[in-house]
Amino acid sequence: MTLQSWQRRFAAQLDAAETPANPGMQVYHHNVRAQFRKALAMSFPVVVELLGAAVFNVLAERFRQRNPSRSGDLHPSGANFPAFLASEADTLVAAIKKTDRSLVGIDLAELASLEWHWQCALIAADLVAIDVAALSSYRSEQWPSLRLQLQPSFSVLRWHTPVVSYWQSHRERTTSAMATTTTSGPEQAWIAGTPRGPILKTCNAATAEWLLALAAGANLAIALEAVERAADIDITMTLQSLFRHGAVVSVDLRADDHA
Amino acid sequence: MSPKAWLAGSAPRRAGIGLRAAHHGDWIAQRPDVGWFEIHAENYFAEGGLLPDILDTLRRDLPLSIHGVGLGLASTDPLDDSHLRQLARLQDRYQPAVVSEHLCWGAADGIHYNDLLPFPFTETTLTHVAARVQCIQEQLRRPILLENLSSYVTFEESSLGETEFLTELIGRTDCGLLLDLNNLVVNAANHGIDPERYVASLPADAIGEIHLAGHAYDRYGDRTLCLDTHDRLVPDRVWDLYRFTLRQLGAKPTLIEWDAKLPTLPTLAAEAHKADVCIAEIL
Repeated sequence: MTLQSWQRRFAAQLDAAETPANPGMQVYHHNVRAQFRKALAMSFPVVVELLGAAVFNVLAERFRQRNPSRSGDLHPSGANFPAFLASEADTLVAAIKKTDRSLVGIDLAELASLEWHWQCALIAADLVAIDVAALSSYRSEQWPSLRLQLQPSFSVLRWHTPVVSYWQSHRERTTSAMATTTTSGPEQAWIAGTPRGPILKTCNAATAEWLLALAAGANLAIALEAVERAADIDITMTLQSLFRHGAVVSVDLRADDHA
Repeated sequence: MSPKAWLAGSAPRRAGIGLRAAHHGDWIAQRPDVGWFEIHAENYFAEGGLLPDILDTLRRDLPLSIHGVGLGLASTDPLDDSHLRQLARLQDRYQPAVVSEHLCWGAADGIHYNDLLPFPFTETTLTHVAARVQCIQEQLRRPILLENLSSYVTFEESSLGETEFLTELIGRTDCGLLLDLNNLVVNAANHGIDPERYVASLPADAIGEIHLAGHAYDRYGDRTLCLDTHDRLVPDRVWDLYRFTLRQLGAKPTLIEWDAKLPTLPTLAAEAHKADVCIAEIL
């Protein structure tokens, strides 16, 4: 038997749903599942809390079977978990009903998506941020034509349920009580990895649209034209927030904009 | 010997501890009096954010050992170039005194099991592992240390003893050995190996680092197995084997490994101090 065949035979015992008869193999069979579950739980702590460990563990194993690790580093293995939760929505609701918990108006897949973006922002490549003073090198009439280069991981996220409020409640609480949220309806936020760590800021729907256009490379004025309710945007405050939190890495004025 | 001497390539003679995320703040604030520190490579593959700054800060004062857990040296799947590139990037940025990996496999047909899986010791596996070690050493432009595993199964296919396998591997590749004494005690409980005899039969010069850790017993099927848990104080049996090993091999850089149910940083530092006392006794 070749080493490859031998490893495949060993791997088949790890993959098998039933526990191996050999006590030593049982340890490996257990470890593979426990390690994966632990890594997933570290990436999605608020999802774990909302679901409870028992429901989460069942889901994590089902997810592992469909999305086994493809890397010697377990960190990337959670990338498809939000989509998996979306596909399991009906099962989840049924599972939660059997416990003393409720989803408190939160879409679990959306919450997982927020947590995954946060995990990615924690380790994303970042560039040196610039200060808002960079704007002073341009005349005020040039400002509408400026383009902002944002951090490489800058994203604008939009959800149907108040996942940001719930997630922030979880992070900011000082007791072991469950996180809560009193808000309802859609929420938007921008998120970026910066040299000072990840940053997430909520914004209204119009600002989210504007930021999406800015991130896509439009200048400040053209980005504004893309927004349906531009009057809802507080441009000064939004720009100050982007600069203050290290999201802007350069400002430039291109020849075509200038013209 | 000072940490700087180790950086210059001399043998370190102090104990270190592992850097874990839960202790980042305490490390920066308390700067524990230890000889060096070790990281699990995969936990620091971050390209940005706060982790690189934390490592830069600690690395300015202490020598570093980078310990990989995910390369799958003995896997028959191709070496993961992306993983190896990230390891090389980490090495190039932080200039560690030591880079180590486990003598294990971890993936088959593209599926990774993220565990340290054992394999039979044969001439075939020796040839395979030696080629992979050489490839990694060429890419990292340095010798690496390989850690002996704890295991829960043995294989009738093995035709070589473990120390015979290791000695031959060292001879073929010029790699070193990271001798995990807790793993030997675990394997003694599970398979009846003789840890002292194991240590005595290794080439002393090739051993670049020692690991000490705790273990636990649990029931699996009809057997009680000793598990390599890294979740408690180093037990007396491991300390006894450590003193024996130091007398056999001389002083070696020694790591207190603790990965689960983490204690406070001072508790870890106290374990490292205990290892330093053992080292001082033989100097």
